[in-house]
Amino acid sequence: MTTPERSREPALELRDLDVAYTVRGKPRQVIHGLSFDIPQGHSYGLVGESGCGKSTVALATVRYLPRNGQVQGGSVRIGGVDALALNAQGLRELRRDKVSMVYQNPGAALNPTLRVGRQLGEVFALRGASRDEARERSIGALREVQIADPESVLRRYPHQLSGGMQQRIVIAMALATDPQLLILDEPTTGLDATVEAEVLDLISNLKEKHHTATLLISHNLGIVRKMCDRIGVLYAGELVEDGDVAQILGEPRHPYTVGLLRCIPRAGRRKDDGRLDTIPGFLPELGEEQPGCVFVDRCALAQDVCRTTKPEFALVGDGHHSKCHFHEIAESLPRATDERAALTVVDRTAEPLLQVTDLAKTFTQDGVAVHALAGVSAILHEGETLGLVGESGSGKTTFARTLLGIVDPTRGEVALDGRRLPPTLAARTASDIAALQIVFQNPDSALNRRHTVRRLLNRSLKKLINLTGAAADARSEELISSVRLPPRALTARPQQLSGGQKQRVAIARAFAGEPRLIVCDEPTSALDVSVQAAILNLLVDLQSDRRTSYVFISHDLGVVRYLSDRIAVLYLGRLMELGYSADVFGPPHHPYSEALLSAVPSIDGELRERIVLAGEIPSASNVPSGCAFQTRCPRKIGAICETEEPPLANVGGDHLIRCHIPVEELRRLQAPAAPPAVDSSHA
Amino acid sequence: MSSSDDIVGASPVTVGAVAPAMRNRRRTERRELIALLLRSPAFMIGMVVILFWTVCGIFGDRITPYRHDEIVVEGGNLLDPSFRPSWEHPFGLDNLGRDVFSRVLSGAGPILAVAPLATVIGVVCGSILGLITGYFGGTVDNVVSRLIDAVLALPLIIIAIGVLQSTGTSALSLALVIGFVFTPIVARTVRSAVLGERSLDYVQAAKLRGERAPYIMFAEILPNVMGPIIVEATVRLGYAVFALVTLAFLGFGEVDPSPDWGVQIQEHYSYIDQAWWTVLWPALAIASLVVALNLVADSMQQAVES
Amino acid sequence: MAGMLPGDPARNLLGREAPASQVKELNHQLGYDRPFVVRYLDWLGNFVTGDLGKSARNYPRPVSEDLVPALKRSLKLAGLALVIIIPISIFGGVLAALRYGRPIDRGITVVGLSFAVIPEFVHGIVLVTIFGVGLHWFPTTAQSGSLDALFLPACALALVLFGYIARMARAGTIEALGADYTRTASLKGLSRRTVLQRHVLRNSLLPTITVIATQTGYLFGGLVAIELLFGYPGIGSLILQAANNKDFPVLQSAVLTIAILYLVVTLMADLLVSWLNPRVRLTDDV
Repeated sequence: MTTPERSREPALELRDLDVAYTVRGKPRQVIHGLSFDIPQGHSYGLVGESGCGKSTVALATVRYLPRNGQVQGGSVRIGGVDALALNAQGLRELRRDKVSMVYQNPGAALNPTLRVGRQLGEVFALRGASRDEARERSIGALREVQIADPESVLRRYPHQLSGGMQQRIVIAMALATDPQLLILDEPTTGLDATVEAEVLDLISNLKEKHHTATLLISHNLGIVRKMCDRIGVLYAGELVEDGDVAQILGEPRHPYTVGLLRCIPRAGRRKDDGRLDTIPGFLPELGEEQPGCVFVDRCALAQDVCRTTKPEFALVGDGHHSKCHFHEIAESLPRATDERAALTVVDRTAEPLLQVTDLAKTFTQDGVAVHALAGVSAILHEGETLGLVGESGSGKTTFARTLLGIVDPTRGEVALDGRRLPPTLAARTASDIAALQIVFQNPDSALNRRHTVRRLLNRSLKKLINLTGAAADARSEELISSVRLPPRALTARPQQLSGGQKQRVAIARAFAGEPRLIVCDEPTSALDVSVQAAILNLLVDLQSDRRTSYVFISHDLGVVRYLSDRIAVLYLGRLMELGYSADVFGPPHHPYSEALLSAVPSIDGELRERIVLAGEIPSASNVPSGCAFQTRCPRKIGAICETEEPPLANVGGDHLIRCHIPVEELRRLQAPAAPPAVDSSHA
Repeated sequence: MSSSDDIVGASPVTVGAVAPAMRNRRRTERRELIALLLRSPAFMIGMVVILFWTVCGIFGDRITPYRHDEIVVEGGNLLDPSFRPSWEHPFGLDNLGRDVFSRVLSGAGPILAVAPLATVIGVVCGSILGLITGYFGGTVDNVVSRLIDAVLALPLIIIAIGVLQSTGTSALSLALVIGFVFTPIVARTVRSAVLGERSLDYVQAAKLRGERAPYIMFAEILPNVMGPIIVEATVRLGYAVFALVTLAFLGFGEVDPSPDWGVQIQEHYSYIDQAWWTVLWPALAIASLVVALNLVADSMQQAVES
Repeated sequence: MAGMLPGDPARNLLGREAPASQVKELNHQLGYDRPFVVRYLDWLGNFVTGDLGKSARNYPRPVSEDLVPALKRSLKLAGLALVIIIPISIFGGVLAALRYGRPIDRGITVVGLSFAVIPEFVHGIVLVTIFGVGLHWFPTTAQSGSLDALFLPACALALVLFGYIARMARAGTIEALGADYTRTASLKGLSRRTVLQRHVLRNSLLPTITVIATQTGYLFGGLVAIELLFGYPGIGSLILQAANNKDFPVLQSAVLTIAILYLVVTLMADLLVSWLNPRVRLTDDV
């Protein structure tokens, strides 16, 4: 495909953009004076936590703000064209020819009542193609996004396709018109890690090929590092820093960026290496007027001048801007949390706290058997954290549920302190129930919004350890302060608390009955990075105080690695690898673990060649024969992988791997100097 | 993407740094809700009309110019010019020579006595049924839902006629029949609200404390579905009035000399060509009351949603 | 069901003075001395084969002789009501959604819901007073059965339905307007009209079909009052008469007919929606 005629103008130019939303009758400013450029063919990443306004920037650029939003000032130029001055016809042409958008939840982005072919063909028909031409070009577009058998996909409806496929189709639609600017708003949130990696690679390749400029909006710094040349950091609607991506992530010049980077567990950091830093305070209220620097209330370097005068968005290096009076000393920002690690010593000679033997669960859905969990065994000692890693269909949620007794297993048993636990919750004693508790992913859903915090805690105290009256009140106060909330929080209802505060309450509740084990089911996935750091620190501290064990489930490998002592890697309900975190995260390890690790983009840049996995994750109702991973394994050795399921072998030092390849061979193949794994052929 | 009001940020490492915005948010939210309602013209108009009819209903004959059963003109009939609306009798006289204006005003009484009772019966029974089917699901839900579907296959008026045939038309039986007929409707609404709550994690969390079903249904889920229940109750109140007057019109209401609007219409509709005033004013009275109830219900729902 | 209603059918037929032995004999002849369950099942069996039994009031007149023509007349009236109101409601609902938040939206919504709560016969009286007695545009009774005479009663029935159908059309359209796929379509550069027709309306009208079907239940209920008001001998009038006369065979048959009609309509609507909604029609086959 030839590079079309492009003007020399930047693909996107924003100058002093101001956007406001009208909420309850009053306009509240969401974006203040935003300015940045994206030259033709370059890529720019816009990052920030929730509420910073990044999606608003995207919507304002294409003029698709909701009814109550308006651009109050500034300019938006796309390929030299003033987007804000266009009439309806002009806007349509702009959207048709110059700019396209891809965003999260591809399933929702496609019309459920139209076939894929019709929706994709529309794009070409707009440019004057006839029915047949549109169909031909649609097939070409689908091939370009690496969809095999495009003819049959054209006939399907969106709901018949997987998430990864749907996103490819959305990308195909976006790039079909060869736009100058492609806006991507969290394009891979919700996709599995391996699928995400493939979609990102696809986007990279296509944007190279078409010479398309991209604006990538994400909260994930690793993705931005991988995909973008430059990065802009957005805080409370203002751009506080921007510049070359490696430079900003390596040598930040704004206290917010510095703080943000310190919150994230990087480069294999573990809890024993020390606590994560946090950013104290809260985002300013929406629409509050800020005479000084927008970050002043949370900045440890703040002086009087920061309160009175807004800093300039000044050039502090080669193409590097920062909006801070004290940008030279930004990196010396004092820590908000001290670094001393809270250590828990695990006695592995003692009898294990939890012993899971051959736990399995098969569901029947519409007459089909779904093997959610296919025989998993593990042990957990007191004070130990077991991390569970796996993509969708891995069975990690089912494992947690069967452990807790919410779901009763098809076979297998769970033993606590050597004593077998009844499989269902109803059959367990109160003390058994109190011993195993959970912290859910979504604190909004996990706390009853009509109950006060005190009621939530007192009720748990009553049911789990039969504590009532004054003793219960005293204990509630203890619990609240142990999660570092003020006593005032007790009288609050969940709506009055922030996401992080709610999760602290949920943790306090889990600890109410003095549990031996807590299942943490993605406890920080719904929280911002800065909040996540505080919650992780809290969990580590509480574990060190009370010697509680954790089963920690997360899709974020950095977080799992930080928190866990041992890690279990699950795939299609089977345990593929179990070992200490260092062992699992480095060679020799299971080919799936290897591929998973290579799929996750790191903030510090790619350390190794990415391993591409072929095909999609098989469905749990249709598990491949032999080794469950053989349909996608890049290190498949032959027929044995298809016929025989490998046993879980102990390869030394409590490290278990389920693979036919002997560990010595794995060690050799996966050594850093060895050639990378070859793409396996499509199944 | 609407603006987010949530304050998301790092939780304080040191104690005491909880945002002061916390407490005020709740009080201002409730105040804002009431202010919103008071500003809504629909709500205000509705409340005024409801209050008007309530006063009429309570005081009845004590405030009307004539008593509802007082025969003003003896021995005349509807074709007499004196029966038509005039300054003395702004709504005219009915076929027995009674002042229509007074009868219309007192007509609120019988209706407002029975309608709330029927509503309460229907809402309470329906809510319990909805809670049970929504929470337990499975066979209980299947069976009961099918039964509800079967009952609702018949227009409610027809069911009511069928039952009232045998039980007679006392205020109590009217209230019970209408309440009975409302129960499945309310149960359906409550059930779907409960289904929405049941999937939330706090229900799981309750089970993981060892809570039993009745506790979860009434102490955990019910407070969260009170909103929809209250809205449904106000809607049902409007329909209780609807049902009462329709049944009265069909001959299943209270008996003369009750000034119940439906009864008045029932007695006079065949004279509509000659004496339209005997039916139009009661009809408009009915319309005003049900519309007012509906306006209040609708504005409450709007306020809760926004 | 209706057979449970107290009242002695034979006694009703023969009058109060008839000797007890005669009453007993007639009850036996009519089969009313058999156990209730047996009677009911027997009748149900007959119903299915088309034998609706004989009217207890006008014995030995067969029930079907009155019921079938009455049903036809009611269907004519109900059909007219639906034909009038469905296009208007859908149009109103979609218009309200497109002008969301503006006065016309509030107007349509409030008016629609107000009409929905007002009993049909009240609508009827107001319409008749204005257009019948006042302006003389239409007759005040519908006995003739002509389209002219049916217009007012059809409107009275239809106005009650407007509110709910318009509300569902509005809600469906609002949801579709705010959906991600509408955003995708607009951002492709499609014209507003294409986005509306091809993307929004296709998705918004599906739930409306279901609501229309459930509203027919209210329609059948409204027939009773409207037919009384306008003196129209439809199935509603029949039911009312039969209940007052304690004519159980007629009552039972008429009520069951309505129930069956309603179930058929909702079933057809369900099938139509399933057929139109690809998510239901086609299972995943990836």
